[in-house]
Amino acid sequence: MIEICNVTKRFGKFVCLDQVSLTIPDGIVYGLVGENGAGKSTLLRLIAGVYRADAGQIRIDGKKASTVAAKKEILYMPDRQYYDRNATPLTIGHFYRNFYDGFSMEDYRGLLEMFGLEENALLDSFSKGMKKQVFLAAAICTNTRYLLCDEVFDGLDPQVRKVVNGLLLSAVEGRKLTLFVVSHYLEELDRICNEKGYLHRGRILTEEEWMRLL
Amino acid sequence: MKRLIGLMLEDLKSKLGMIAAVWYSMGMLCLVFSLKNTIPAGEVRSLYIGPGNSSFFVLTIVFGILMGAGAFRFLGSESRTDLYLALPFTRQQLFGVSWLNNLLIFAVPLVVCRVLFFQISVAMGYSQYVDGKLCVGMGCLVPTLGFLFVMGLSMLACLLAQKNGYRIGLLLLFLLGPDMFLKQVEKLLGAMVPSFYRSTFLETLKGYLSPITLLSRAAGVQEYADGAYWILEEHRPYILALAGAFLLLTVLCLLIFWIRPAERINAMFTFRPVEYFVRYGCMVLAGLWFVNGFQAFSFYGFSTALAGIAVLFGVPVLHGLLNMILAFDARKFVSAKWHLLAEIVVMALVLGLFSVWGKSNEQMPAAEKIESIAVALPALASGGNGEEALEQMKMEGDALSDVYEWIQFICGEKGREEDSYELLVKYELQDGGSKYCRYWLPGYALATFDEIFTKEGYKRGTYAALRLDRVKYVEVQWTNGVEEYTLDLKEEERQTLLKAYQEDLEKLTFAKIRQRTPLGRLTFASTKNQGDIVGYLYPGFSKTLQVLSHYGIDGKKRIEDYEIARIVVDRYLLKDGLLYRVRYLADQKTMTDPQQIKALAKELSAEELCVDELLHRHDQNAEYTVYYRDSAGQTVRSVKCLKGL
Repeated sequence: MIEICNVTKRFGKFVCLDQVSLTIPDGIVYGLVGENGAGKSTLLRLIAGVYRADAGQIRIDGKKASTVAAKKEILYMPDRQYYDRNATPLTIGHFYRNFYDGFSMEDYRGLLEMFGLEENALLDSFSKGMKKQVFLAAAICTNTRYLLCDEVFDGLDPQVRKVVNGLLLSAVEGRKLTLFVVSHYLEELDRICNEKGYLHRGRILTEEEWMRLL
Repeated sequence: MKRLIGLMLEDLKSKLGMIAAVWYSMGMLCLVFSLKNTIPAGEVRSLYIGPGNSSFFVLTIVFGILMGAGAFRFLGSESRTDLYLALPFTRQQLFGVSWLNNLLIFAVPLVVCRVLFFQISVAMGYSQYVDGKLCVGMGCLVPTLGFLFVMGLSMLACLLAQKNGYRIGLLLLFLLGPDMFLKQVEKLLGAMVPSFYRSTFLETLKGYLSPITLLSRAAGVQEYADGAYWILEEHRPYILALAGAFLLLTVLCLLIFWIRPAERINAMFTFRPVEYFVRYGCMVLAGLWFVNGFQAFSFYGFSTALAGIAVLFGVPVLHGLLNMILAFDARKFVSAKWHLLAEIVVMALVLGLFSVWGKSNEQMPAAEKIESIAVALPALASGGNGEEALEQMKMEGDALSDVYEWIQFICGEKGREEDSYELLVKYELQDGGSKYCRYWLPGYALATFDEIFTKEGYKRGTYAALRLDRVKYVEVQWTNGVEEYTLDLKEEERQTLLKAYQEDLEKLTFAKIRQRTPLGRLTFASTKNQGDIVGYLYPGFSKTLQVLSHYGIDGKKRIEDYEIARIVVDRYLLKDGLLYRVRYLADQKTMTDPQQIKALAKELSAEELCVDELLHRHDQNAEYTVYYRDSAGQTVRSVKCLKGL
């Protein structure tokens, strides 16, 4: 379970997240919606332990985020992924295998094959959507209990999006993965999410408040 | 552990370029050293495999800076920060892995190359295994410590600043700031306190606080340059300080990496106090430079009014410039007004503090507290280096009290005047400390220096030839500025010549130095790595001249004794500017009349023998080029000369 309790994050004088509280139970797909600059990606980075909150607490299964024990259970997939200039899908797999005990190279290769991606091709030669597929495949195969995805559907064509949805949902059902998805694609979130949250100017809104804003 | 090894490997993969650069640089150095086929044994041991080697010293600094800057490069990119900081590691682990990898990248090639070269030098007979072990060990340890120290400074600058320009600036401030500050303080004290020459306290601070100086003293780069042996005892305190400094820096970097926010901050520096540190640090540095610069207009002394003007006008200008640099915005020239006020106050406080400190050190130490005294007159250039004389001379007992009284009455607390001579004095105190002072000997009282010149211990401290052991030099060179010969002497002959020269030198008086230009110069060339010693021959050095005559050298021969074909006279005019004197050629004349030449040649001396120019003056407004025929009478050669006044 991810527990976010009164978390505040400032960038200089700008308050990005203002006393945000949220609880995400295990085994669900949670979607977070919000306009640009609402603080969605910042919230994911705080959960992943990349950023530190100025106030409040984040706990993953009772363990403080940013500890190794908590990080082992989480895989954070940012919107823009970093990779080495010489990286191939295979080296990406090896990279994640080094750090996540549960990473299955066999499954990863299977997913690459399913997406039709050449495992020895340079990542730089791939399109934006293809790169996203590589990292998504790697993320699923790390077999962590929590998967944090920032704009996961961005750059994917509708057909691949459907496949991705299927993969994510089967992981949620099959191994009780908790999926936290941040996206602008409201329809996509509606399709896969059990619960949804609305972030506006650093605060979590109720659905009614959100609808009023729309 | 498996994950940590994985992280190490991934980190190493990202540093492949640096690994190649380190191996290539060190490998090439060893290859170059190995190709040298005429290296004396002592030189290999101390110069190539030892820590003072300047090529390895430069590599240590360069790689330290580069690897420190590249250690946490991922913090400069949002996507890389997301990747690395989200991995299941603590920040301490990320720091530790990067630090350890950098250490391995530098230390492994260093050790391999040094040991390999040592083995080659042993196999080729240039070096001995037993003697060289310590040298190789220190040659690996000291550069490694130095590398970690410089890497720590570079890491710190990168962690504290947000943009590359500021990172470079901050690193330069760390590396050069302390030395620049202490030099400005010395300059300021020199202007404020007429008797200030050198402070042992400031010297110690310079040795330990200035990173480059600390590193070079720990490594012994100076010994390498001088070609002297590397002795561990002389470097131990600096090596220990270097080790302490790198540990402290590493802990500080770890702490800052741990608390540092991962996000990019819209500011120059990661933490606000760093901006204050940079602002006030730069202000004090530039302010002191400004104050010292203004003192150039005061001529011989310190002007409080000029210091005040420098602070009141200089600080606002520097403040504006700093504002522009820190904000990278020219419009910010007039901003941060409260800081300006604080900067003026800080500068005034700094100046006040140094003024008080200077005044407290102004007085001569009490006579009863002095163990020994050393005096050097830098104008007496034929005596060699004044600094060295201060360290070598020890006048005690009656000589001490006489010299003390002489300084008190003749020099006192007089400031610099136009016709005065710099006099350096070192007091060795009974409490083990020492105090260095600079006095100004008035021109009219110069003759009284003869009293000091004849004191026991003065000549031995001043003239290195009197301290020279016969076995330490292998050959002697003689010149009178026109001819030059090298004497290849046997052991007994060397002893005879040195003894004769030393006896003549003991009889030399200060009055003679002031009246006569030397006849010639002897250079006692010592064994490699010991340095040469120079001694001048004056008229009246009969014993030495006699010994030289045995080898066919006419030491009395002067310019007038040569067959002169012509003399070209270049006459110069001096024009006084505000700060400098400008010298330009006014006219040129060629003399060919034998009578005129004969009359003029009597007054000429070879320029290279006119060393004590401040004591025995020559006409600096004219340069005489004497064209003479060599002994065979076939070739015309030339020599630059000066005319006595």
